[in-house]
Amino acid sequence: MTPEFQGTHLWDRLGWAKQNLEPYRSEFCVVWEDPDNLDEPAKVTHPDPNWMACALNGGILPPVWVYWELKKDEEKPDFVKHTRGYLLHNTEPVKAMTESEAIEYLIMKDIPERVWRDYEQANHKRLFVVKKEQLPQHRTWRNAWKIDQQVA
Amino acid sequence: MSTLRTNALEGMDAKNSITIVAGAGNVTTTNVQEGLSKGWMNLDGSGTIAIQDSFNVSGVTDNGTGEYTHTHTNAMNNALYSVSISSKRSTSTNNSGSQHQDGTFTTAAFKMLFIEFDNDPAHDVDMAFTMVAGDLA
Repeated sequence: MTPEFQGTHLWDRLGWAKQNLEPYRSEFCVVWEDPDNLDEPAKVTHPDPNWMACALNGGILPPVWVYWELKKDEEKPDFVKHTRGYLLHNTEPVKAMTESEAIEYLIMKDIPERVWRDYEQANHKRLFVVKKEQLPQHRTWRNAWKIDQQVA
Repeated sequence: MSTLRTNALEGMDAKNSITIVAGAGNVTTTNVQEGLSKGWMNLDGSGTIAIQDSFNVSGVTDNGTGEYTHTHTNAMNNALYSVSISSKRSTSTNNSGSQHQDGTFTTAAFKMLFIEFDNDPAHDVDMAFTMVAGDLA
């Protein structure tokens, strides 16, 4: 049974999760291209198994908007250190997510907003959730990986 | 010698700060929280990369050859924290090299790059290891 964690430091919650939850190795990852740097190779974001366990369990992770607020603070020119870290710890944690919802959460947390905002309407397809087995199985030409716009 | 048994220790002045006083005359102190690693990751960098084990990591991004982004679940308090990066040399290419923090370094994430000593191209590694120290948000 997950303790009532609202108000508990997020780092302590992660310690509880590490002790009590089994890591979940998702078969999915996110392939994306940065529209501001289209010459760069496609990037691939993989969820952490312990983080996935927290997401699927519920009651541990803060809502994703908390991370957006902290990012906004950090982008201010006079930023020195976070003064609203309490949002991570005091905001009501999100409930259990499905694997699909967890991947969506991760996209909005760890991938730049310019990539995922309105990505479905973009002419140049720049973000896909794929199975790991769909990735090239060797890395010889890793820096040439691009999203195939024909397939997309 | 007596044994102290407890499930939790809490600072009196600040809940998240405990100082161990040691040494003659109480002149040597150790702040427990400052000394703790705030996150770590063991990454299999061969083939399709995969996090083997970790703490306080939400995910890792494969940016290209030898370049990865480690992202925190609990953000750091400022961007002045410290990261230790190491790797296991690649058995396929026999590369050895150095590890660099590269580009992105925010309270939310940092990017690392593995390069060769001799001719400087980035290269994939069989295993990558990270350790984070500093203050949490």
